[in-house]
Amino acid sequence: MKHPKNNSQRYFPYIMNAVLIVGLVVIFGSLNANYLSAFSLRLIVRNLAINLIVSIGLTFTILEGSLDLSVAEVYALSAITTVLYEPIIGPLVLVVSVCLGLACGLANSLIMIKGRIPSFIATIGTMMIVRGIAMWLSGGWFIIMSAKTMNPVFAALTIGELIPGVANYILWSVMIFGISIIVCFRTRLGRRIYAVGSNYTAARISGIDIGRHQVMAFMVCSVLAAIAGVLVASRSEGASIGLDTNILLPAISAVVVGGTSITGGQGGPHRTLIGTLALTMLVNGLNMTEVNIYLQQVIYGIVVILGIALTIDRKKLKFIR
Amino acid sequence: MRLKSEQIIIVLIVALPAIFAVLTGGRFLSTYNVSILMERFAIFMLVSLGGTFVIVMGSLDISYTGVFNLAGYMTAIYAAQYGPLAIIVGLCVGLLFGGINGLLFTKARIPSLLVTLGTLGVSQGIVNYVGGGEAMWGLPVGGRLDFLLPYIFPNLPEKGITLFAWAVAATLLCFFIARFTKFGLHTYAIGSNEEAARLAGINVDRHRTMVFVLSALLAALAGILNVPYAENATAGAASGLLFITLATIVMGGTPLSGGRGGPHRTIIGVYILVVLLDGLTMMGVGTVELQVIEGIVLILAMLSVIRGSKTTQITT
Repeated sequence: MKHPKNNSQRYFPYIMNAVLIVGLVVIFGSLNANYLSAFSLRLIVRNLAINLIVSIGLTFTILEGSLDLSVAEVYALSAITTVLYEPIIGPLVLVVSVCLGLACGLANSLIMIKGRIPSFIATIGTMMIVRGIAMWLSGGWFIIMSAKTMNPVFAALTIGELIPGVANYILWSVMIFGISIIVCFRTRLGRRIYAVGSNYTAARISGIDIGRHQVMAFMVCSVLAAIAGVLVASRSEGASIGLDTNILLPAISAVVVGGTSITGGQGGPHRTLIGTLALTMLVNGLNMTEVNIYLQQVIYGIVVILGIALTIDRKKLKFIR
Repeated sequence: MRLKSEQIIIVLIVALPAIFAVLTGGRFLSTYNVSILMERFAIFMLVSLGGTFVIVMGSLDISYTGVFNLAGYMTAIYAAQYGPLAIIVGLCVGLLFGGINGLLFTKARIPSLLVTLGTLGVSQGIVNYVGGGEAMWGLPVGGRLDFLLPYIFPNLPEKGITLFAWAVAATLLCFFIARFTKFGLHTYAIGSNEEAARLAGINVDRHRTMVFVLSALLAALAGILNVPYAENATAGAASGLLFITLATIVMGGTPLSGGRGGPHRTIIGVYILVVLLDGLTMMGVGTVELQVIEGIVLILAMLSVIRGSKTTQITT
């Protein structure tokens, strides 16, 4: 699809992540013998699954050349509506959440396109609105649901185990990953999202309806964040507005560390999977070696900067602003 | 379009307090509420000034709340041992993060939004780490930093009035820098046309780094002043101001595309926002609804200013 100048540039993100993952295994493996135990690996997969869904969504907006900062709030709001309405409408909360995601994505992209506002500003605006709604619905409390009283169909969909030992939200994650790969590399939509992201003007001149593809990318992003919200509410049997705190920075880091350039048009969900894996292993290692939770925030900040510095396509930015 | 938004702003400046005064039966203009308005204005203004310079230059700095919190907290910690000298620690925090922001932006060539998103995480992480759980509840500082907010007006015993005086002084200084110094001129030049500024012989990279340092220093100053004002230091003192300050800057008339506006315009944005939020609170609008309103105001502010500006491609 793309024709990178040379192979070293093309394979650089993979090499970087491979080095990172091997390094993590060596460091944390020597610090804590249990780092590679079955229990620890299961923990990694469990944590990976839901973060991956959010990160894949974000990958689409970044590929298209924008940035959606409202994912964390959409995720939290969707988790809150799930807890609130699951007792009433059962598995239909999934539909509610998907609609919620569609609405947020549509709002984000229309404000950006029609208002000609940079995407990160437009999404900061919707982020504040969505956060307000989530606070209002939850009353600011941690609201709970119980696996025992959950609607059986809903429970089967989210935390049931179709394959013994593997919760269904992991299958959701695998399925969404598969679909996103197909969409990115085997459909016109995906190809055009890459085109818009890699050269906006060229895409417009070749007749691509840019606005429509931006709307699609934002909708995919918000819908995936909303689905992740449903799954996390079901898994942790509760939700609160506080869910939004530890999602955005990890998701952006996962995308850029994986090698999807923040300038758009380069990378894809397959790289995001690797980035998410590396970061989840990092967090798991930090937890197992009892690194302070707040220091982890510092480490995330540094990782974001490093990831962006290493993967950004500077040729596309005439001026760095 | 330009003239129209100017007119809207003038109408808002006069009409907003009048409307709230009528709706609250005059309570809005009571001495007590005006002093509250002045305090809030001071905090918002101090936080927005640095960001204004960065936006005039055409970049973005969103790390200021982290720097604000970290500088305030560190100052509070060291005030216990070193008293007044502790403000040096706070200002060093500003200097350090401003330098890091500027160097990462100019040398590593990362867009400023993303650099400062990263350093926001780093600075906020450090203050949370240093403070541990305590930081959430606040670190009482006693009267150790009260010398920063002396009772300069004997008839007005509120600390907030002195804070307001600080904000006025800082604003005047920034206005002077922006309008009457080479530093200010270069900032506008880079914001309106980077290539032209470079060709005119401005050391663009060095200047940008200096503007980021100025921005972080102002954020640190605001954080330090907030400690004696709030009488404690918390890890999240400024976190609620993160995005709304962007709205005040842009609403005042400094477009994100750079090269126009300035500190004097930010006064207008801060004024409108403070009056709006305070008036709505007095009318019984809850914090949750206020948050939604803030988001809408942010989007409207961008819409009113960005339309017709020179950005052609809307991406990150």
